[in-house]
Amino acid sequence: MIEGEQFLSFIIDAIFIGVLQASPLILAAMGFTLIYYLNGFINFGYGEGITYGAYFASLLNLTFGFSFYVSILPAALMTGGLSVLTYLYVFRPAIQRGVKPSELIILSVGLSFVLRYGLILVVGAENVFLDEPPIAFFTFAGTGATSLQFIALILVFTFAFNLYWVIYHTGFGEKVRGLADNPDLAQVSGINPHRVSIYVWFIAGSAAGLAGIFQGVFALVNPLMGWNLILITVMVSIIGGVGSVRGALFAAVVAGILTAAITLITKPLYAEVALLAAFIVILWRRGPKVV
Amino acid sequence: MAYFIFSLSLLLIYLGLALALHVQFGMLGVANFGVVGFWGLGMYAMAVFQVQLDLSFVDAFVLVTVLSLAISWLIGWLVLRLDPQATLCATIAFAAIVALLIVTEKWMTMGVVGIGTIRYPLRIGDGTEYLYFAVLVALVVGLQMLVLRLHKSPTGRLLQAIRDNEELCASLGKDTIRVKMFWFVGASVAMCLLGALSAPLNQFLTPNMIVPSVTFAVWIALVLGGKEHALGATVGVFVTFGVFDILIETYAPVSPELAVVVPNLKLFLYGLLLMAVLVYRPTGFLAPTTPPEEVWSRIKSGAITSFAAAQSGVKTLQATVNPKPKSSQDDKPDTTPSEPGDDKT
Repeated sequence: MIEGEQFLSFIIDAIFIGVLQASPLILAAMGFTLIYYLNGFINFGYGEGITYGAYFASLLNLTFGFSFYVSILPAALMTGGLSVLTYLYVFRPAIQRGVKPSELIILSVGLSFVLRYGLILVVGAENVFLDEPPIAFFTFAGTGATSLQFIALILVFTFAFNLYWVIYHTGFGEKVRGLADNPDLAQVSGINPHRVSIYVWFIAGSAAGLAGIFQGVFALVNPLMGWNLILITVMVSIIGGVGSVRGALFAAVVAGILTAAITLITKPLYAEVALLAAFIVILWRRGPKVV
Repeated sequence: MAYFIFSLSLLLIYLGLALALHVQFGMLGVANFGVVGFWGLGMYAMAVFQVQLDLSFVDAFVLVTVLSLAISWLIGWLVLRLDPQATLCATIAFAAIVALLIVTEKWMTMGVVGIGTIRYPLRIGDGTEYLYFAVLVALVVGLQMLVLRLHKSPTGRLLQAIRDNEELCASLGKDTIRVKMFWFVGASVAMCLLGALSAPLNQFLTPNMIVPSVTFAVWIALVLGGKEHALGATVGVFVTFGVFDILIETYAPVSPELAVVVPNLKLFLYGLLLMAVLVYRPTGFLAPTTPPEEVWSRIKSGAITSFAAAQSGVKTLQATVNPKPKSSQDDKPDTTPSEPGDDKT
């Protein structure tokens, strides 16, 4: 019976650690999936939202000396603003000039280069550590978590629930879904695509910013952190089903638990390899239909 | 001088990669974002065969060919049926897997410590590097000739037709998936073998060479030069890698503290250049229909423009690092490539 008990505690550990550590990924994937749903292309520049969120937080937290909790919201909103700017000055003109989705992806890679290396030119490439608030440590059913992780988790689920409610139960959500499914019909029925897009890019950017803030406070802040997270964000959003906030949430949690489980057995890098390989196989199984 | 030959050899490797990508993306429409995966696979396989197994260059090269054929075939089989955006994600994931496995499999690749030394084949004393360079020139010129020929052949037209409308080609009785498979795998194997050939150039390999920037440098060169023109890849590599990595890094008078900034500034300008080209001139420098006699004049003006852009970028940077009272802050580099002549027929 020892075997069984050990196995059970392994499963509990994996789920616990996985869910706690998945919160940045959940946020990033939910925001990413919205933009992909509405505009129909993979925005690699979204990863830089994660980086900038963390740097905005470090600006408020370290340079201006605000407490970490106070800097969360303004930093997220600033990232949302940045996201809207990239939409207004880069993607919207490109879409209006008739750049195709496959080229928009390359454009987003170019934008992500500009943002990332522009940031390095301004602030340098060194690691930055956020000034963490005092941390309380809770134990719970044999495993432990910090107060910070709990707050992150609560915020993530509040955000997720609100987003879900907005997309599926409000008039605004209906507009978003209408525009994504049939832009022409939506415009004919009087929906202003421009305004809806700006809101969506703002929400998605804020989600990326929040993801970056938590990623930064759990580990460290550096200019490559967004790039390191974007690939898995894209994977999770595609597997969860494009445009499905619920699917992104579910897939991100599963990815977090799988990563935790594989990390408990072997090296953390094998977890990444396994996820990437699983991603290729899932795409292959789905065949040419979609994404 | 030895460093200059090294840079030029590296330029040739990039040229080869861009030509292979031109076949995959420009002609066939398969967006391979895993260029560094294939290149890194070939390079590390060469190193492992030569250093760990102590094989000769020729034996190792044959083994790399077999290995890369198998892996390229597997990747082609997995990604070619997918929708273009999914292909892109799957290939980028492949490259990430290669980079991760190089770090984890220490027993084979020595992990982050790095693996070496890989020696040049055809050692003839002092002139070895020059001889190797000559071999690379011959190979890359051969690849370019092949691409030029492909553009004029019925096969080339078939590839372009598949890119534009695969269903139509299939309905006309063409075995599109087999054609795609053949050319995708061929180009991927070429990328692996170019990697194998760059192993002796680098001599000592570390995992931080296998980074996505390699993929994007090749992509930027191709998109900038003109992805659908037979000479686009070549022009693009000379304009990006040739100007930034060779002219600027070798000849621009930059102070040591600024020299650290130059690689970042380079990638920043690459990004800006890529965005400008995609928005203002999606076909790149050379549109698919640019007649051969116009190519040279366009290269001249284009290369001059982008050299000027890079130079003014360095100047802006110098001005911000050592501000002088009179320096103009708004002197932003103009990265939009010039458009001499009208190519609309």
